[in-house]
Amino acid sequence: MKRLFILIPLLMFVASCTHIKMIDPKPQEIGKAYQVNPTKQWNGLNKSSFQTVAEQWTKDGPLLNGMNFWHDISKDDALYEERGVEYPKFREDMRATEVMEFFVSSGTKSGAVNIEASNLRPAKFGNAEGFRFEYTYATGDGLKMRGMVLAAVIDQKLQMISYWATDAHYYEKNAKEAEKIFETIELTSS
Amino acid sequence: MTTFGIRAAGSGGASSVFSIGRLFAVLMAALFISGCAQTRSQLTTEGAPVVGSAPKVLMMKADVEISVLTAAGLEEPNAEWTEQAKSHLDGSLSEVLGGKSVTMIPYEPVGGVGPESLNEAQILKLHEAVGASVLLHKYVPGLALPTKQNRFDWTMGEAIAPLRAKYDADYVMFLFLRDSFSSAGRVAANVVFVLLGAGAHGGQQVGYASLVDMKTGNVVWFNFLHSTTGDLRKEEGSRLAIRNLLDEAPL
Amino acid sequence: MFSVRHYVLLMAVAFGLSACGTTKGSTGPVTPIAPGERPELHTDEAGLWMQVEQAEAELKTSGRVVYDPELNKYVGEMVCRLAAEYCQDVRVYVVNAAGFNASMSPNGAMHVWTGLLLRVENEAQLANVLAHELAHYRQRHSLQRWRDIRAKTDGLVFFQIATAMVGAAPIGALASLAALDSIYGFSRDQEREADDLGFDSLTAAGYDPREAPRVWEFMIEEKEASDAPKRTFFFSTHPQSEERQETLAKKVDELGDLTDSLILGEERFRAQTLRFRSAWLAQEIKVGDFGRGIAMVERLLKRDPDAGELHFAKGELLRRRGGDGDYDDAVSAYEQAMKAIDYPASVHRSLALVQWSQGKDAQAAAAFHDYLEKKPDADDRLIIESYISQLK
Repeated sequence: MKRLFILIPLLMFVASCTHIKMIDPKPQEIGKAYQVNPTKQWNGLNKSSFQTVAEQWTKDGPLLNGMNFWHDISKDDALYEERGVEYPKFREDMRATEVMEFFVSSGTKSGAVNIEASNLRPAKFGNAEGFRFEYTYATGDGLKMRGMVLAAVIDQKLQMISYWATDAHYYEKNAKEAEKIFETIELTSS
Repeated sequence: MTTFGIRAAGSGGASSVFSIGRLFAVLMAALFISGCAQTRSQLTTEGAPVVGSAPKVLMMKADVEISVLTAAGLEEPNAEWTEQAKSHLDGSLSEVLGGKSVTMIPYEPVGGVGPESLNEAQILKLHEAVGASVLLHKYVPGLALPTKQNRFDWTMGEAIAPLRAKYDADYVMFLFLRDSFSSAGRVAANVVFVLLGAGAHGGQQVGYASLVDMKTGNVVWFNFLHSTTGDLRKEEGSRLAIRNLLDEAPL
Repeated sequence: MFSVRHYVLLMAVAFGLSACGTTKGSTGPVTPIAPGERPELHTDEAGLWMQVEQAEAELKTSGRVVYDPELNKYVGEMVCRLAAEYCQDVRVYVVNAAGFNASMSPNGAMHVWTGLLLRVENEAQLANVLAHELAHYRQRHSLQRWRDIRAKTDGLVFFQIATAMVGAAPIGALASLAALDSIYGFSRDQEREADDLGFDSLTAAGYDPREAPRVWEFMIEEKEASDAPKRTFFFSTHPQSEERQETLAKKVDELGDLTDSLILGEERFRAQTLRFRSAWLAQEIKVGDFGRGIAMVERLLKRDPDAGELHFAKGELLRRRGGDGDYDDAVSAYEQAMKAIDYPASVHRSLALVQWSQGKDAQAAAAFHDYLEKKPDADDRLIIESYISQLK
């Protein structure tokens, strides 16, 4: 039954997506929450594509790799939105461990198979205290994927960036660049 | 999800919005344009491939499916026609690629479900995602990636290595072919559509060929075929489609 | 102008109309498949099989199949016993998936979800589901459905013509029959027939039929506890769980007195499945339907009141839900879990997180310490240490 709802947004995506915009190597605002400064060009997808509420960039297409930029996820917000699917909701008192669980649960709901996160550790998100972790999963077709996440809960709002790609080839290809983007985060309010 | 037996086993457990098959169906809808056979190829911008005098090409198992269009225009796979199309394919490939003095090396899938077969399956799945990305971002208007405006640099990178180790070949060729034909009901419906000036939609032929360099893993050449005529079920039709698809290959 | 989106929405509406309408299968009713029978190449059934064979090949390399030899042998042998002369025609796949489900492909590929194995208590209950799925295969229900959908969508052409008349028809192949097939479930009548025939074959194979309606009791219990909004789809074709439970219960009554030699198979079932229970519970927790999950775990706890992994799972579900009173209940569940000899270190971490949220900082810090002590090589050691320093 879920499938009809998958089919419709997909068709809407193709029909409504008039253009994919160029992301130039200069400071890029993510909402009003933070900015990042990529060192190379990326392609910015329309917000509505692929059900995520994040801003999404890709190098070679979202089937192969990309980065998600979530900002200001507040109480009861979800990471993805899709008609007919109940996605897990963010709670403002979540600690790093719980945000990682929230991320895994949301991914499972969105169709990621056998998603496993590991290596949770403290890390700076801009000048804020945050955390990061790595994860693996497979697509519905069984293609193995890998990713990493850097996030922080600041004033009860979740700011989070993920980088993900096919385990074979594409992950390694852009991981360093994603890492550099992590290092350029500047919180807007601070 | 709450009662057993609710879904066709084909779909299995959790489904992904990123299913390649579904994307392809969408793509075909998006690409629906009138006209006869047309192809548009892409050549790597990562340095022209160096082709020897008699290249050896590993031929992956072609993904072929022939369907009948129901009155409402839905595609229903037809096993007999698919068998016919497959039976003509080898001959057509020999003729077209043989004319280019290509040595074709057949792919032999690892059977069973051991680690080796699972690893090799990953190569096929990666190419599916790469091929679908090329189709989406090079052929669908509105989905072009700005960073790739003058570039064609999709690759499988080192992921190709297990095939390189196993086969003595310069390239790997992936083929995907779909053909469909109207049922009697669809033909009747089309007559009405034409009378109403709405334009008919009968069967159509779509396919792609992807040539991957065994050394670099780069997709050195990619061709997309779309045709509203042609018939893969017949020997002549098969030869024509393969010629349209592979004639320009830099082999 | 007309966009693809409008078209699809209208198509969905038209679908609903034709589903409630009068169109009937045009290619005729199907007859049961014979043992060893394969469709002839020129038939629509062969096309259907071709498609599901492709899906079966993909499933094998999808990473979703559990390839534990012992578990596969066990479930495979049960299926064979129930399938009798159809044994050779059926291939069983244990599929890693949360949820109370199993499915049957028209070519004999059966999917048994790990979520099902987690929920049933014995062989007789499992047999009820397996026998039901086998009946779908024997009766060629997928083919019947395939033909019904084709007939229904053929009616859609009139809709297409109508839109063409107002000059607004983007005509193209927007869907494959397979895509629509996966939207539809089996019809109510097909489910009733599969329940009926399944019941007969599980009785014939010697399983205790009194367990059959039990499975539906579980299903109803979980459905009622589920967080998911109760909604009825206009294309929902399923008989209610309640009706199916009642029908099976009536069939049990009709059998009259039953002998004691019927197979329950509880010990064997437990010996084969309990070792996977922690992993299967973890999958259910990830799916995030807390109400349903808690109902399931509480039911399993009635049978195994001391099982540490069940208490732990209950605690995890309560902690993640975090509603009124959930934290207190979670703490008790974790305390119960720690009574098991080999409970996992993560119980301490979860307990600490709850206590932290409750404002019991000193206890939380102590529990985090316990976690690191029990698991010195924990991959999240640094973040736990940072929690401890925040708590001081």
